[in-house]
Amino acid sequence: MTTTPYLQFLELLIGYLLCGIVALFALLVIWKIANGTINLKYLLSDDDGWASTSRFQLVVFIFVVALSYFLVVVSNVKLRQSGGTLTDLAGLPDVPGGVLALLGISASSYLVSRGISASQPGYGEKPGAGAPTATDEDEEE
Amino acid sequence: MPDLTDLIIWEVALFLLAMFGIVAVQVVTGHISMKGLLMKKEGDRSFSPERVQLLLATLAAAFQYVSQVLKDPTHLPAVSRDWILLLGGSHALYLGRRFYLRRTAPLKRS
Repeated sequence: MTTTPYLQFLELLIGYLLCGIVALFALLVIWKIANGTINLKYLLSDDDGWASTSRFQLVVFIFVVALSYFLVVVSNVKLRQSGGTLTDLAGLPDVPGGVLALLGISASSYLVSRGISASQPGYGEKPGAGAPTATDEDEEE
Repeated sequence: MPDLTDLIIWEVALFLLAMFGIVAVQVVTGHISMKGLLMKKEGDRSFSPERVQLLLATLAAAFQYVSQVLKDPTHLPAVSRDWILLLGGSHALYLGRRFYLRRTAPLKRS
């Protein structure tokens, strides 16, 4: 099947258009994080405001795997452009089972840690909470 | 006009760098709180060795993996069984200690 120049042009145009839309979304997210609309203050903290080691290690592993995956994709694209071994480079790179196990251990450890915190008596209650106030009673009515 | 592939690569690279940069700057300036990262959440909020070993194991595994990728970036390298065992053990120690403290010491509210 042959592709006409018009279709090729349309394909390229849609590609650039999608690229532009994604770039706009990315810029919007970065702008909102930079000006504080999206607040990252509690990225590493639990509900009590103290930093969580399990959250921290999950963030580290997610950054490492995302960065590694991006580097591999870029490397494969460059190889393909320079006429490398095309048979090995078709599609997106495979993620080895070990990497999935690593992320699984990391994420499940975070979940179990949250479960341990949440199972403690008094967790989630604000200090001084207890007897209902007049405002609470008004809201119930 | 730049090649579409190059454009996508630059776009993703800039986004990842910006995200990493923002998080790093906010950690350094203290906007993202690191308070109590190595302290127990139970009892007297004292220093917690199990958190230190988890942090060290995490950083060592992350550094080792990134260096393997940089050495040969044509594919994602497999994680060896030893590293998975090391990390699994480290996490088990951390969670086991937390579970033990949860049963013996009350939660400390900040």
